[in-house]
Amino acid sequence: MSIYNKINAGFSLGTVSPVTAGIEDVIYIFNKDDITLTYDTTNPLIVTGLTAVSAAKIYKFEGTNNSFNTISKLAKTPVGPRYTEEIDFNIAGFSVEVKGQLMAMGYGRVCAIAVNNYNSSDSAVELFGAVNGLILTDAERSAADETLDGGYKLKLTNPDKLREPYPPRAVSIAPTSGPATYSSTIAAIEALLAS
Amino acid sequence: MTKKYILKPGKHQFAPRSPAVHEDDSLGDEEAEWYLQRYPHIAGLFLKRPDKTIAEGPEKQTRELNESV
Repeated sequence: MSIYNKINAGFSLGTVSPVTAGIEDVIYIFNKDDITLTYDTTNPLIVTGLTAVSAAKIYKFEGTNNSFNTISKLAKTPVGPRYTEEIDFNIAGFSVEVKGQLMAMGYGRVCAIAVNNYNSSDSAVELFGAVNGLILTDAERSAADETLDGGYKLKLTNPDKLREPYPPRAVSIAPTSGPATYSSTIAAIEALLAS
Repeated sequence: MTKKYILKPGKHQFAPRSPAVHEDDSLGDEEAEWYLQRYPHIAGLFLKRPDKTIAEGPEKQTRELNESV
């Protein structure tokens, strides 16, 4: 316990690579029961591996114009800090395939991986819903809405009464040899994509 | 005694939703065999298995085979 209630480092303003806002226009989503995770031995905030159960896949949702967002917010509780998570994204379409995926995300639990625009950090690629998963809580389509031009506006959040015990995990997957980098992490995720 | 099954570094989930508690130090050969039988998808998490020397890429496989010669 003691390691969690004492800080052990300070931080300066990163002037060499200043922090920037936003995430890339891509969200990787997978069914929570489809992928098992490997964590760093000493730091549970780092996911070092993703393993597909049988032939399970990760699905990629693409957007444009910096229209996706992630939010992680601390919630104070009598038993310690918990974190609420939100993923805002949209789908440029409303076909039955799209609707089918939306229904599935409303019933089942998924996890989501977002890629931050600021990729100098070791948290450039983040995993949401690692412990309790996420469900689709908003799926709104206003046919005449000019902002989305009739597309679906979506939000994934923690299921009712459940929050995450950790902030979003950093995904950092090493190649076959050598240390983990941004590129090796993206390559490992892309290798699990449905074709 | 040399272990027949060696897990890659890290704390692994063997089944979805399970806690990530499996690491090489705490996994015996018999246990590893049991888990592999029931959860075949974890095969790739092993560096060394009796039926397949190295679960990683061909480059490392060749290197390790050369070392053992």
